[in-house]
Amino acid sequence: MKALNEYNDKELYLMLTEDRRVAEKAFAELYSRHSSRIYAFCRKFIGSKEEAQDIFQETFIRFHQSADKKKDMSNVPAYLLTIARNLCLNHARREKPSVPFEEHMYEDRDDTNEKNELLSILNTAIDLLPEEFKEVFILREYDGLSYAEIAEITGEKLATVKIRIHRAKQRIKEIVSPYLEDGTKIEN
Amino acid sequence: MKNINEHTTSELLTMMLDGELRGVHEAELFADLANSSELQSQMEHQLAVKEAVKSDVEAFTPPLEATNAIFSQLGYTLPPGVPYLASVWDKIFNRKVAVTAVLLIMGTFAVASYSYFSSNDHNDSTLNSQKNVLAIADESNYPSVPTTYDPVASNLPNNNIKSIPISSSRSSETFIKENSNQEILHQENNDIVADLSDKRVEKYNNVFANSINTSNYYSNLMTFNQVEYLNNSQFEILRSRINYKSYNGNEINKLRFANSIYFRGALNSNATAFDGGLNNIVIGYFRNWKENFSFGVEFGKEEITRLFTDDFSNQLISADKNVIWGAITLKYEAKSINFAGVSPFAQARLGFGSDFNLMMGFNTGAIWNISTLPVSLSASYEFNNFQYTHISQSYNFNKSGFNFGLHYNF
Repeated sequence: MKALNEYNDKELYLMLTEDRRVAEKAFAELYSRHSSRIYAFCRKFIGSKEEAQDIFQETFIRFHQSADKKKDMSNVPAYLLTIARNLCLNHARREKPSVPFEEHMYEDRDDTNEKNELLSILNTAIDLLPEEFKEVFILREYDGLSYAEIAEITGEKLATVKIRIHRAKQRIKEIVSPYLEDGTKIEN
Repeated sequence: MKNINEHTTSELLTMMLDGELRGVHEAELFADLANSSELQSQMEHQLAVKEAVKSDVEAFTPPLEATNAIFSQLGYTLPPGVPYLASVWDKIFNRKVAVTAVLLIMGTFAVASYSYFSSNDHNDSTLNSQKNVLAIADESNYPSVPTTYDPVASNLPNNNIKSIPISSSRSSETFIKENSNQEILHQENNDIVADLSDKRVEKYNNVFANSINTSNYYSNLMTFNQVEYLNNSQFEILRSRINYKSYNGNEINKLRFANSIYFRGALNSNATAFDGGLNNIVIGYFRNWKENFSFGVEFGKEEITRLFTDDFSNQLISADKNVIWGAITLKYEAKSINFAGVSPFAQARLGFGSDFNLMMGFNTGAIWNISTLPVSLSASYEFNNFQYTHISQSYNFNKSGFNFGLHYNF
């Protein structure tokens, strides 16, 4: 019998429909493979750690519930990201007001881990991006997806994705540039 | 900037840095890059952002609570090797607290050991060392001891009759109390200590059994202490070398020892497997302390799964790592619970080692003390928690499983 790490995502997904012992091991393997990038997407898209955590949990629960032998699961991470994206978009449309940049800098961002000032500014810049730019930027930079994969997940044309990624990076550059160019530290 | 087909050079640069640019566009972009400081600046910014993203460890690390919540909602157990953030408890139990705790535990050990070995007997031993300690006094000098008490024959005023304290020293008291109910089946050797202890019991019984007045008691005690003297440490050794059939009424039928060295191991799996195996080997030493407690040190080697930054890709990765650790440990063996030589035990440890900051763990299981050999076999469930930091972030890793031990007692 093969070790779990020798199974591909598709095989592991099918194992989720088998008996509990097998399903548990298969789920744990899939979780260990993809949880980081799914959490990164939720965390960056939502901003709030607690809310991102809830959506991250919900993503994996729904993923597990979706297990179906008849489903042609060719790309598990894309499927997970699609679930996460839909949940994030629903959440954002329900809850999030837009916040001006100046106020944003003084928000309690719950980023206790941030030692890197550039990272802190980058996070602010990401939060300020419109949703359609934010999601493609996160999928590209945090999840490492190709333009074609991003187009598949977002349901947009490849050309649209290219333009959105470029514009997202341009907007981020506008915010990050002052810090990078003169090395001036922005006081929090 | 000029256009190359439908894209600006700025867009091409973004695509190039994302690995999406191919063929002729690439060559033309490089040519523009060589001549445009604005493009160069844009490239530097984009690379800096990519580096910042790579350093965003927190974003790639699902919190422990989330991982736990998912697996518990699905009714699954949390698998080993899943990276997670340290819990609130872990944050509270930070390194400073851990160091303080270690110092407190070590201090407690030191104080307990000092007070134990510095009891009355020990002090008396120093005094008695001037009186030929462990030498047998001339019995002709002993005062005669009545075999039965007769207040009239003793010719003492009634108000001088007092109840007899068992002994002036704690270990004598303990020793006599315990041994008075014991049937000594076997003495392992002719060690003078054991030999004297036997005489001591006999002599004590003779001297004190019916001494009921204080003057006799204290004179006899003095005689007794001249006969032989054993301090606490010697008592422990002595008691460890006697094979008791019974102990305070409980059948134990086993050898009791003061020291034990042991080897323990579980080699059935690696750390990332899902069968809960420990894959560790441990050697250790125990010193018996009090009746059921032992303290000691142990050293182990095992595999843990932890986070690293991959040198090549600069990405955060989870990988298995062999670690070596040393720990102080305390064991409780319920010797009074005994079934065919098998007793339950529990053991706790606190350790430090390579590639992690702190280890806390415990074992619980059963130990079979083979009555005819100075050897014991143990089987136990073991749980160890390893705490470590990576890029200023605290993490922990839990391992659990079953292992088996071989103990040599002496």
